[in-house]
Amino acid sequence: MSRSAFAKTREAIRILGFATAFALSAMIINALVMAVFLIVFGYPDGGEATFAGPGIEELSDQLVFRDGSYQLGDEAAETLERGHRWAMLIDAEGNVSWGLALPADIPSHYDMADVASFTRWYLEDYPVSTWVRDDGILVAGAPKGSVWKYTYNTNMNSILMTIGLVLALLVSNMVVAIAAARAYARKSWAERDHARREWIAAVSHDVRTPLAVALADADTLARDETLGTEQRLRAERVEGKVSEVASLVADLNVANQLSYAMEPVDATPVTLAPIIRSVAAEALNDDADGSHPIEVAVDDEAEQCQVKGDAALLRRMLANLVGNSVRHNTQGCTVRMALSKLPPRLFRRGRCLLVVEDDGRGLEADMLEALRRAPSDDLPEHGLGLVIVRRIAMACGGTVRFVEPAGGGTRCEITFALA
Amino acid sequence: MRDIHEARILVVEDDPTLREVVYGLVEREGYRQVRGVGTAADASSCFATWRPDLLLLDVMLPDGNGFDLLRSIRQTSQVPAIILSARDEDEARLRGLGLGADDYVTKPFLPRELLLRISAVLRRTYGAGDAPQAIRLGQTIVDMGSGEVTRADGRRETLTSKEYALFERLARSRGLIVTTDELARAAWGDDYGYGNALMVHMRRLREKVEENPSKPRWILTMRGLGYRLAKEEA
Repeated sequence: MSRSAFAKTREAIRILGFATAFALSAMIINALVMAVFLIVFGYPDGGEATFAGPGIEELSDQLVFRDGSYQLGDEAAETLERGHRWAMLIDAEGNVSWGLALPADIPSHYDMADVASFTRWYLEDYPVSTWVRDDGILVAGAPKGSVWKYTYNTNMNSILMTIGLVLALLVSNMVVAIAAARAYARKSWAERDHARREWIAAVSHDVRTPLAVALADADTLARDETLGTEQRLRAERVEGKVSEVASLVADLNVANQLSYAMEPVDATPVTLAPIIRSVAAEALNDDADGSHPIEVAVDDEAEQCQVKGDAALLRRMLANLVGNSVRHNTQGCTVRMALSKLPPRLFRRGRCLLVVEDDGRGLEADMLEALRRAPSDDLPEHGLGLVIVRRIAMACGGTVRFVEPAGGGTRCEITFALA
Repeated sequence: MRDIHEARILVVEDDPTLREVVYGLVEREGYRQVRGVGTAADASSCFATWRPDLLLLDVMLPDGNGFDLLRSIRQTSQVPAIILSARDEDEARLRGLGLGADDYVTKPFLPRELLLRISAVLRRTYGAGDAPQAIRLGQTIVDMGSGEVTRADGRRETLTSKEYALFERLARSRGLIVTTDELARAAWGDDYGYGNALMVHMRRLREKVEENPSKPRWILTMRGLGYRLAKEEA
């Protein structure tokens, strides 16, 4: 997977994670609010939610015909009284056969039309509920204005449509939540990345100015012929070490740029061959004692190979590889750089293979292991130079393999897709 | 200017130690007129009154940045400038601004590198300088003024323009490897697709300057890389 696809997938996972966490926490908070509400205000009692005290069914149970008259249980009677409610039983003829605390404006006879009307609505503006018994209809009324009654009729199709609508709203809300979370997350990540990038750039800037002074002074001392050989050698060593630190700072900067940028900033077609030759020539020109010869082999057909990337970064990548071979083999070694075109594949872009290898003492086992692991954004504790190699190659659409050649030494194979 | 060492050089660098170091380096190299300032304001006023021939410009200054300073100077003057920067990103920025800085050096730099760049910019701009007028290859002498080659036996030959460009490029980095790409750029202004033509011209160049062109002593082939003009043995 290319670096950019890898980074995008990772970002998508982060955003999805963020949106899920957001939705879950919203749900948990809703559940908490509901729980608090229920604890404080209590749960309304099912179908009888409109009336305080005994429900109409319970009332009916407590109303019994005994010894020639109707008697209501004391408990139910008390509760009705407390709630300023009244009750009556209408017999099959439409006459009130029993009543409790009936208001004066309640009629004593009802016909079918009356019953049909108050069953659902109000009786003389009193909100009522009804219960059909064997001996008639039990009616319980509450004070005027205490209950709002509303009847809703709809056909089955609209019920199904409503369910669909609710689902659609839910889904669209989720989409909006994900989009909002994504936009927010991208912004905050971008800000954080920018801040971190700026910080590292600022630190490296501040480190470089004193390094410039140290390097200049060390170089001046190393060339001062009035000094003894011993002192000049020491100055030379200081110069070498300062250069190493400078190169580290530069690597850190490149790593910093590559960690956060999805694509190299200036991705243009870059011809590899001149860069290979130039890096080799520079290294050879610096190799005063000739202990690190470099062989360059660019196939004729690879001469024009171009990859999409940034010339300065690719140069840095090659310089790091060559520099690594030279630094880790102070006793001397031969470095070989080769560029060749790979055979074409059906329906795929052409590729080229860049190899940088040496016949030195090879990489440490743990370093090799670290280089083979899946790339991560964490900077390694050591060997930044080679990790940068991999980052740059990936940013330029290449894949890197570090292998241990049978005869010893180090071999790095980079396969690039041609631009 | 007869000698580049007569050039007035203004060092604009806010870090006093580094300013002193650069100042010292340039002075030790034989440049007799050097001044150093630490702020953009001082640089502007010094530029107006002293008229330097070369600017060494730090990017981050306490009262502004080197790019803005260069931009304001560019409105009235095309004085060459070398940017000293501590940030890699500056190079891209500089290119984007199109300010026409003549060179760019990243901190930390090797003193030799800085001095080489200073003399290269001065020579390129003022045409004068200490470029050797004649290059000696054992008994053979190449006159860089006329492009004429004088052999040990007094025989004379003239280099063609391409041969001259190639030889001049090699001579400029005498002792160092110059890649085929750089040579092609020197002769054709473009750096690829001239592999065979380059070989032909190098062979002709060798025929003119080498005693035995098939066993060259001066223009050495660096296989797969380029060529190197050997230094004269001490």
